Amino acid sequence: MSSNPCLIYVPELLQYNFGPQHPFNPLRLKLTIDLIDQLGLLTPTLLYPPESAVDADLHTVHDRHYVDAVKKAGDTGEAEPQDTQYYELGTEDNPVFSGMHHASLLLVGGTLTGAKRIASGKADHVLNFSGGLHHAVRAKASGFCIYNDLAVAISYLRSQGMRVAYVDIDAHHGDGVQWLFYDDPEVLTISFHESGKFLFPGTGTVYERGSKAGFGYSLNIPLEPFTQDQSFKEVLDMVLPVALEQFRPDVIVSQHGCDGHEFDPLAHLSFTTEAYSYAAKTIHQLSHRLCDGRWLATGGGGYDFWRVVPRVWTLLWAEMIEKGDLVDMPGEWLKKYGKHSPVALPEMVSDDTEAFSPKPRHAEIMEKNRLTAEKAMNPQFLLKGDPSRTQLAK
Amino acid sequence: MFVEDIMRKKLITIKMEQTILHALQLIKVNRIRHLPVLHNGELVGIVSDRDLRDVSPSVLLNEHSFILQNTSVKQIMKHEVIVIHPLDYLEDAVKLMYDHRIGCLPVTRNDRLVGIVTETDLLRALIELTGSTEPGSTLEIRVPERYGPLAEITKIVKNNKVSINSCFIRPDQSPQYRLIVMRLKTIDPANIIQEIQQAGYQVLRPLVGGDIDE
Repeated sequence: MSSNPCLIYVPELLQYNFGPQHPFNPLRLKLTIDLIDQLGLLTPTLLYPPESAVDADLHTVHDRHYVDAVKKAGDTGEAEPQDTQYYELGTEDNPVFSGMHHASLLLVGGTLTGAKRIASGKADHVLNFSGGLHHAVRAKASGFCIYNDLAVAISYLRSQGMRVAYVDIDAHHGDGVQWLFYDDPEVLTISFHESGKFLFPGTGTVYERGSKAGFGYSLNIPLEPFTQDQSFKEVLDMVLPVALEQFRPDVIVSQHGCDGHEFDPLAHLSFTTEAYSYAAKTIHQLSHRLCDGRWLATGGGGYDFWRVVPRVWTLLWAEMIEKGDLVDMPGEWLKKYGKHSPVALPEMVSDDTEAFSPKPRHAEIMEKNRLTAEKAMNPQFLLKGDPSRTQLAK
Repeated sequence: MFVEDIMRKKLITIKMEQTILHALQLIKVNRIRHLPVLHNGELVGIVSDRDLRDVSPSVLLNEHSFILQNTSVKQIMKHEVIVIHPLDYLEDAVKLMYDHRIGCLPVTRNDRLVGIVTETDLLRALIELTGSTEPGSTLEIRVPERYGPLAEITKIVKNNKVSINSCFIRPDQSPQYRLIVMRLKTIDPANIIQEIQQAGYQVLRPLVGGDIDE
């Protein structure tokens, strides 16, 4: 698989910062980039700075009044009461911080720069760890997401005439991206997430399949709490290759939130790094098989930023540049951050999966997830939006 | 929720002298199962799709339309209709329909038909009550059956500056307890869960560790 990958990063991306008490801590980004660097996986030719997005880019998916409210809140440092009420700005989840509009523009610009490089053929694989803010919708911030960088990038790719497959493996449902393209048969959204019975945002049932012309072009695989690697891999194999082969995308956009890890404080999927490596590998291979390697990947959730995020995302980058033989964590990295971390840092890049024992009701959970995937893949519903695409109906 | 909040106001009705053929067509075209029967504008009876089918001849017979065209609704309608008032409450409608095993309640004010409530409307109300359409995290908390726990819990939520999308309380399997099911407008309820546990209440869901008995 020959490829031309690039990593989008500049330290200014750390300015997307809700403050020290907030779970979405920019340290997650810094720790990851440092780890990649110290493992020798960050040659300058692979690094590419983001070009900041402009308001017009945001307006392709976001309401003008909402953008203006974010701008104003970022200038004054606080949200008007009606902005909290209408736009969810200044809540505990989405606090206002000084300069939030500009910090968000750079972040959106990161993912958009990736989309442009792919559309123009300058790169095939692009990774933006700071992107992946999949909850934001047209006129509302949600779940730590101010602007939906993924939707802005997908919207750009659509304007270039490309069919986009969006794959989301964050523990939370990729609701924002799904709703923004719910009617669009040229964007297939697939979300694997922990069931919304208890977890935020609560949506993402198998019955959400898209509407109007887009019916059949939204796929949801809500997983049971305590799914673990084995069941996730099985379900991923049941769904992803079949759906993408039928859809025939021109480009894959993927969101790699790693909050499904056993150590994550927000969700309960109990994955190890193995689940994420496997998903990255599957998506990577599908991108070469189906769309000449065109693959735009982002970060996403992930709130154990000491033990989980740097390792999972380093493994994602290693998959992208085909350096699959990482073993030990670099001593210097461990030394530098070990003294700040409140928890012991793992000494291997990948988890020892044997050290994670099966959860109670393991067999029952596997069966339930299998049934969910079967229901999601019921051919009666698949890709129904455009009857003229008869080759899909086999 | 009052009955007037959930009832349907666009009514499809029939007059008692009209034919059962007409009634069958109304039910088919509008995809409904019940027809209130009116006389001089007053509600005098009701026919259901089952009543109509009971009196319809087999479709296998050639000469079946004679009966349909020459029988009036008056001859087959149920005269005793269980009705409800717009200012009755959702629970009253649910209880009436459940106890009498019926699928619909005409809503009347001074014997005038003003609306109708069917099973479908109750299911819609249930969706609104439980699965709030806004993004949120759901907690299930077991509390002792006494005064106070809900106030303590909502105070914790308030102190964490999180708003509540929906909340309901239902009986637990054990009569000494109740279950509070609360949907919170936040992606991160970890703090709130911890404080609720510290206050001495059992958070059943979301689970930690994977086992109900743990």
